Amino acid sequence: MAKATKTKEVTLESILWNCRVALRGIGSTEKNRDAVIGLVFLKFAGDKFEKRRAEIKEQYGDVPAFLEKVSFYNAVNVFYVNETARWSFIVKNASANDIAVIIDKAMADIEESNTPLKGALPQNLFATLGASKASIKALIDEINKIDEHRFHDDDLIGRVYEYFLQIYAAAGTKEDGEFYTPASVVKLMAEIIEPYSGVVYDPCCGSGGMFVQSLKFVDQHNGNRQKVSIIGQESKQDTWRLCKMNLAIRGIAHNLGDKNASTFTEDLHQDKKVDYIMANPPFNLKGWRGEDQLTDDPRFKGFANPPVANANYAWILHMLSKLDVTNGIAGFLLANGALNADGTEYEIRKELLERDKIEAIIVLPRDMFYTTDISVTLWIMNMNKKARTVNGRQLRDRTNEVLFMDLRQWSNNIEEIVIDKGKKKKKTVLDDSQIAEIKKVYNNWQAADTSLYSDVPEFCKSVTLEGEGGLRAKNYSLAPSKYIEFIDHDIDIDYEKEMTRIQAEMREVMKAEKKSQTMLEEAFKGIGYEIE
Amino acid sequence: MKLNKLGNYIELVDIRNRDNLLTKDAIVGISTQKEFIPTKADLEGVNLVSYKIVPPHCFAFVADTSRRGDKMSLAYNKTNNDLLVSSISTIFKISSTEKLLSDYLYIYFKRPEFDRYARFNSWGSARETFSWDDMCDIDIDLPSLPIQQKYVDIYNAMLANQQSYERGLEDLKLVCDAYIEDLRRKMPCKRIGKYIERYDVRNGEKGTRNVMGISINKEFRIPTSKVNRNALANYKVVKPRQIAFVQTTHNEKVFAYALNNTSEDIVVSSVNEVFSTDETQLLPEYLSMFFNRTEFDRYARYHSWGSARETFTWNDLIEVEIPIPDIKVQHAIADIYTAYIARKKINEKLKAQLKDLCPVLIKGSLEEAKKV
Repeated sequence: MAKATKTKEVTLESILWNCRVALRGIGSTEKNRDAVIGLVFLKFAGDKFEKRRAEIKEQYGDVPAFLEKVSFYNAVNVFYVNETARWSFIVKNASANDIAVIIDKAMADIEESNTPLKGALPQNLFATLGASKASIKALIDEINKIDEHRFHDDDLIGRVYEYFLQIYAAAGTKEDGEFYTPASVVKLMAEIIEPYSGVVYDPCCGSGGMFVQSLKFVDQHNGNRQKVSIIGQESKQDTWRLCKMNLAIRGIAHNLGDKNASTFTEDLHQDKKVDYIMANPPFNLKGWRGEDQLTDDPRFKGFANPPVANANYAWILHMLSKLDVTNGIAGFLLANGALNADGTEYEIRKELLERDKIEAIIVLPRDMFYTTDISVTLWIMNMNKKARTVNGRQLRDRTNEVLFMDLRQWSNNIEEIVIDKGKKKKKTVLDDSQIAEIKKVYNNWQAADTSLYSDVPEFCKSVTLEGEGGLRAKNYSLAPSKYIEFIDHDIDIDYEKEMTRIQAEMREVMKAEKKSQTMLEEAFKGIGYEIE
Repeated sequence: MKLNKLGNYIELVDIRNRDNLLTKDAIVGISTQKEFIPTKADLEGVNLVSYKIVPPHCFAFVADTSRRGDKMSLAYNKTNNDLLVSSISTIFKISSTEKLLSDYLYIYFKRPEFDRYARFNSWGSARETFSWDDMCDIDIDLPSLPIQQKYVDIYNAMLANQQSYERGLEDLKLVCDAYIEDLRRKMPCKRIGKYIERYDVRNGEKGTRNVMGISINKEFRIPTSKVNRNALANYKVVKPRQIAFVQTTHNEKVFAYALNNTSEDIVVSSVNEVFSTDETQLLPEYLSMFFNRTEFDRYARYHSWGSARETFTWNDLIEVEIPIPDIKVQHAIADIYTAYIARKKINEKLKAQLKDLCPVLIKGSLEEAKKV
């Protein structure tokens, strides 16, 4: 009997879900992530290659000298791919006994023929993954369904990458303070920093989310991608590779140094000054330097030396040293503990505020990060708080002023992430209208037209360095609640009215009490235990 | 009157259980409802030397306010005994007793706005804390001592009334249970089969829409599953004074039943059984009391059988043996039970009122202070 075939609309998410199903129970989360992302890379690199090859053929005819010329591809941000590394070849051999070797070889090949990819692709991954031939075939079949023509999505690559990075970040159980930055947070940072043109730097770039988002921002505001250049650094090798793949496949030119390295002990971009910094450094990182290490590092000069036990302020000073001294601006995330940390960190914070480097402190809603429920702070560090014109806006002189915003209660937008069958995580996100509102408050506060901004209790407050209730008076604490007014709503209680209501209620309750008492007296009598 | 720092009126108390004078029995937890509660901690092999003593008239709070439902754990020792709390707690007392009454401060803390204030001022990375310094930094408006006393008196009177209510409650329940046990000893039990009658009346197309579920708390409740209110024809009708019960017991762990004590018809899923009692011999209220005992839940579970589902069926129910006293006695004992239920509700109301009252009293005291 013929089998009935069901035709069902396949969504991108269901394909991606099936990819994860194919690898369930096989490698570690990290290895599986690299396997899927690596194959996705091969698929998109192959597709782009074939497309470009067709263009060249059209333009120059079927001439091998042109068709196999690497520079013809690289010039338009397309990687040259050998025949055995092409996606079509992999699909054709999906059932081969040595498919794992074929894939590994393809990755090595692409890397070798394209210098910008050096060190970016996972090596010998499939040979050591421990996945069966059938699992790998299932994976290839699924990834083969991710097709531009089918999904008509301009940013298909981006979406697929984002999906895997997010899912694998959410599935992780990391507690060492390294967190994947949720898309809505990166978006908020880009909207505030406005990296239209110049150098964007991320000293701990992870998989490159900040860069991708800054360029999206540029695109959305009809800017010119060519005017933005990207530099970054990442200490973990796997993550560094992921970042390279992430940027390469989207055709984003970048400089991540030629290897992974610690930003503190091996700064790969020494003496470079940048216009923008967007960063989400690992929170409360311990042991970022040895006890006697970096004690007279130029980056910390003029400040107390950040403690070995916590890198938060080391990140701040590192970023400060990188910012262009006349116009640089940085937005970065730190654990809330940094707002009022004491000891050396207090000394550094005091100095930063006295030197007027901090422009805004924005505490984000709780529970936005995938592996923790804490709330974090977005710090805005600005080298130029003088009156000037920025992106067409007239700004006033904000010397010695800091804007505080407390968004901890903005938790009404919840997003559900399906990590595995029956396993979900609910996380708070900021939607576009909320991001726009935050940006508006920030811009209005900066604006030359001072009528636009005013303090709002339990939400925002403009604070000065000097004066009663100022930063100095509050001993340089950056905890927003030290400044933003709290309204005790009990003040609004209408005492007369409330007491009248309670009086009426008490009357009823007393009546009920009496009735119940009479009932009890009768009942006890009924069972022979009369109450006098 | 002007705002003052609370820190001017309070001081830290740090007495450790150094000589192990207090034992495990003195250990309490601190609830976000602002009460001391039995501790949830596992105390097996725990050394109590570092535990902190909370003397009478002292406050204890936990500085860590994260993951506590946006509330702060704080309590006030109203008893005459020393209590023992974990060393992470902060203990303090009123130092200026001529300016501030402990009870007044306690009412101040019981307001939901105080919880909101404490959370607003809590900071930290992995854990957010409202520290002793933050506590001292509270700006507080203080009426004179006699005014404080007046409002404290209202609170305490209401509290005393509620507590006396609560005390009597469990006794009443005990009277009911004990009376039935006593009857079982004194008189022969009878199978209830001949006193109850099974009903299977279906709702029909134009029947009621008053559909209910049966809860493990032995009451009718709004259905938790999705019910199509336009397709209730096949549902079973439970007339006033009839009882419905759920036959499965493996998920419920109890004999889930409910008595329709309203004047309206109710419909329930047709998998449930419905019956009435012969009210000249057996009052449904009296039978309910029998069903409400934990021992009866155990009985029903013990007699439940089945493969995929363990059930206690109609045929099992009619086998149940119960003492059936004179109908007048049944009325009396059922009335005690009804009074117990009514008083339980009153008690809940009183408790809710107490909670409601704190912000009103603080506001009232401040208004009165302004008039002086």
